[in-house]
Amino acid sequence: MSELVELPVDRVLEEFFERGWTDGLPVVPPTPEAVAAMVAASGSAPDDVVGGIPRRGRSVTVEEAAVNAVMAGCRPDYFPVVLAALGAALDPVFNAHAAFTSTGGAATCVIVSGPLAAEIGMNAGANALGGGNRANATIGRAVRLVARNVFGAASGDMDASSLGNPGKVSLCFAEAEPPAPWQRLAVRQGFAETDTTVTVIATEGPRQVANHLSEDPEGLLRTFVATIATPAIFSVGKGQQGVVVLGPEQALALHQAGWSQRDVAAFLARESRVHPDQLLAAGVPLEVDSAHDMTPGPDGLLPTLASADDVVVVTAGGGGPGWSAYLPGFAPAQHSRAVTRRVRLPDEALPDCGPDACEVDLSTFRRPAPASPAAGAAR
Amino acid sequence: MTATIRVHRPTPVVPDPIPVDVAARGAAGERPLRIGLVDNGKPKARELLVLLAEELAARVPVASTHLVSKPSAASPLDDAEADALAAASDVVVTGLGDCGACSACSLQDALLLERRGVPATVLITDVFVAHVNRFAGVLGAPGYHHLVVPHPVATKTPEHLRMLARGAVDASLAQLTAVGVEVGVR
Repeated sequence: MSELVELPVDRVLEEFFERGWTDGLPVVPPTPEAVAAMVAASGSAPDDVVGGIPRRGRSVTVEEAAVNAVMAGCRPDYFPVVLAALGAALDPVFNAHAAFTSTGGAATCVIVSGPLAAEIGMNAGANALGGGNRANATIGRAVRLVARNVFGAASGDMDASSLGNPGKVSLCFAEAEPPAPWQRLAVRQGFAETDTTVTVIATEGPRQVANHLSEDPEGLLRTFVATIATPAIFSVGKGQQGVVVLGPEQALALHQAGWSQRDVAAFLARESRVHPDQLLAAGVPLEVDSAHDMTPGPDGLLPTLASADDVVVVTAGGGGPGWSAYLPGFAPAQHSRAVTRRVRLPDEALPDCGPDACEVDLSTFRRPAPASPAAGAAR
Repeated sequence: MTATIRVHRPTPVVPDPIPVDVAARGAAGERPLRIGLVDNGKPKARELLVLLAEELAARVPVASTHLVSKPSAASPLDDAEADALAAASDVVVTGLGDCGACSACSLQDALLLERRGVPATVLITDVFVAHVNRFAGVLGAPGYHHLVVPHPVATKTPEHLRMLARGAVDASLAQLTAVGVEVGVR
């Protein structure tokens, strides 16, 4: 159980600031009652381990996550989403050890896809990437408070971010229902229509993509390419992942022109490849003799998005003249990749062996016989 | 009387890491050294490490230089890679720690070698001294040594890199061998 401290009521917020326990904003005091309510909403035991960073010798329990979720301002019904996001961020493929430390200053971008997002009041519409929605703001913030308070991701501790970006405080949004027959991200990844997933990817800040005058699908996507292949982005020419957030007008234009979401990803991956001269013209030398292989392919081009599979295409945002967004991964894909986890609801039976979990053959486990019927019943 | 409130502390008590027992240093020149280098793939890292090995060879007998290049600077060696390098090396230099994740992982590489009984050190740029010192504490080696060159390295010419290597060779010998200078965890 996490340690309890007793603080003067009129000083509690100041104490949290002074002890370095906040992200610079006020927090909700994590009282035992509030933390217990958060844990109860997860259907897990307080001491269950959510995940860890073995290279730091640190892990986080459900209760420790709940403490930080309370501080972030989460309602208990958000907590299963927070736990799924933490599970994804602590998957070795995400490489939190690097993403929480790099000078690149990555945000932990959390994308929620599925019916639970609307049920808990998440925003996928106007201002999806902005403020004003408690669930969006506090789920993303809870993940970052865990990174800070449990895994040392703070300046002066183990976060070496040069500038950081505002998304490091919180960057979380829900996917809007795409126009049929387009499918939600979760369904495209093989999850059921009834499932809700959380996709976590370490990103730079969002770039707004504006094209208010065209419904031509190639023209629209070339506008994205102009942003995606900007030489000033660290991983251009080095094969990264990225998130493409299609606003409603642009999603509809692409959809009505007969493009699938996969077509969009494939086009963007193909067309965002750059010629070395584009980088050199922007004053960016090619890396030579480094782990980032910048040897052009047979076509003379270098990949910006590693492949079509490395483009996370989602819909979000409110109606308007035609705004979308692009969030570049903070580093080439060999260092960190997006990870998706299904949200486990509190009333769901364990073990969870869905497509987001490892398959465990329980027949290979030996169960000790209970010492007595009474002892067995007490289990 | 001031009213109080009980709250959970959000920063868990972290168990002490398993301390790193720094490997015993042999006398420089005792026998030709097999030098291991862990290149993390950062720009100019391999070049600077190889130049440092050449400068070491100009000062002490060197039997061989074994270079390992990692596919990602943001991950340390795995156990099998560390085992293989330990078997092939008498001393190891890792680097280049010129960013947040890569300096932490290059430090970790050096400590993986120390845990296997091979004297090691990590080559970093000056900006990351405090960062590496914090990670050293987290990883069970508070006060662990490092070789420091001025930041940045990635933009430097071969001639400048040679100068940096020359400037780091005395500290390398002090940290990797027993030359009468205190080495290792202080």
